[in-house]
Amino acid sequence: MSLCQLLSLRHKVMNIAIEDHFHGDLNAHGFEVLLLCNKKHLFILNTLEILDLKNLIDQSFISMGLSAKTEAVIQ
Amino acid sequence: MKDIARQSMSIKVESMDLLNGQIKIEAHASATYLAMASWCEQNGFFTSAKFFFKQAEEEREHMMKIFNFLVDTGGNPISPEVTNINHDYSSIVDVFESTLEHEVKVTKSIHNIVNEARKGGDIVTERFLDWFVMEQVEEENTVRDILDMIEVTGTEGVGLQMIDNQVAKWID
Repeated sequence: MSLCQLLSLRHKVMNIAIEDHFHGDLNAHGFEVLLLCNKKHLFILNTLEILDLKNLIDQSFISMGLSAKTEAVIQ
Repeated sequence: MKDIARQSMSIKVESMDLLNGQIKIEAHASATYLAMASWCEQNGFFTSAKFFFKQAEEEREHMMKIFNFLVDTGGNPISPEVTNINHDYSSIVDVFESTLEHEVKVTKSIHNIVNEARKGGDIVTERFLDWFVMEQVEEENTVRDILDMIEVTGTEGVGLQMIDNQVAKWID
């Protein structure tokens, strides 16, 4: 996966309204469909998997040194 | 070892998110000025309409400047969704007062990004926004001057027509 594709994934995942998963009408099934890498892959993820993925992406950018939070982690 | 991530991107992701937010704000400003131009045209303020057409173009240029900066720095610029554009104004004074409010909001947003970039040690973004900081001083000053002119001219009698004619001074 290229950095561009990772940035695109980050945008999609960070824009998922997780609160909607706890609202019967807004997201009745509690799943999200994610298309990755120029529609090459399709993932169907539940609420817990989305939360894990959000955390994974956040931490990935910190470890790559592309997040402002990196400085705080190093200190 | 090669730092592939750093080689691909020159700014922090938090700055990228804030700049994408700013792209949306600039696009919203452009659409709002277009709505104001439409109101001015429909209400006989033809010079003011020209002023707002030009403002709408300028805001789009600002948006594109940020968009291209994100492209140049290896970021992920997002084409914005623009909704909730107000088309209702009670008078030409209301139009210009709303314009000043809008410009102040834009200024605050830019200052916030500068502060966050500074906190995160993102020198590239901070320096890029220098131009926007000074541009906002000019934008606010233009609208303040127009509001002062409206105050001096007054809206009674031929005042409204005089106001519209005088807006021409700020078009170039």
